[in-house]
Amino acid sequence: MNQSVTLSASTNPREVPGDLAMWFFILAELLVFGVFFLAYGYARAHDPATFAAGQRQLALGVPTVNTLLLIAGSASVAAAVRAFALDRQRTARRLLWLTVALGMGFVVLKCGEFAGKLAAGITLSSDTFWMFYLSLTFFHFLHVILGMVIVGAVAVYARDGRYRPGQLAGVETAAAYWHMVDLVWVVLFALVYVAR
Amino acid sequence: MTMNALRDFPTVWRVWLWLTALTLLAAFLADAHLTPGHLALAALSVAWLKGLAIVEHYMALRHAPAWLRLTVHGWLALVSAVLIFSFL
Repeated sequence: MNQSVTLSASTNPREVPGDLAMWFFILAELLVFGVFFLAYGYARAHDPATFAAGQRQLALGVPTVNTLLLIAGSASVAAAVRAFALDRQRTARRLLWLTVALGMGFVVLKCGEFAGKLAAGITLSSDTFWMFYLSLTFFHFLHVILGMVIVGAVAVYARDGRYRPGQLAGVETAAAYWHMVDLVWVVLFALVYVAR
Repeated sequence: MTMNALRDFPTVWRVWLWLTALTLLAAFLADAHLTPGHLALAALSVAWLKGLAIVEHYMALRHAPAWLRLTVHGWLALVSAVLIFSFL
């Protein structure tokens, strides 16, 4: 195996990994989530009791497993990029589908979490904490689904062998989006579930 | 098949282990009876460390143009720092 191949598989050391337009989209997404996080921090600082009461009702087990699923998905899509860079087509495609499967695990667990909250009578109008919890986690949930669609589409396109050493922009673009979804969740997990 | 692939990609494997360990550490901290301020500082610092690894190794921005790398790192640092400050 060629150990000199970089993780991004870029031959140019100062090249944007993937499509530049997708990176502008990713930066816009980060800006939106950043504003959301800061609004949460501002609201919590002005009403810590309401937020603490809501957070005490959140179990930590499922979100921890969900974090591990997204992280494993990031590892598998990063490994897929590297596998394509080594022209290991079958391995790379399997790693992309593994990423989709891990995302599906996240979606299933998250649906169970949402269902539990709705069954408990929690809605957007319950209080400020639940408004932020539901809107922030559901907005991120939609991004996980979009990430699965993007990675799955790349896995389908990859069947004709279009992603090869030196021709990795498509798969790098999909990987970058998935990593953004993971990056946002890492902050969300710490802020909403752990920092109580 | 997949496990063999991961053995061939040591950086991906090591970063995954690091992120997994930090995630479990964060979950442990949540039940460690810290004050809210200390817990927020610890949790968001761990999140920042995880973000650093994702940005550098998985997003591969260490090989990207400086403007892009600094923008994403700046977002992570700003969000983490302001949120920590909001708990103090």
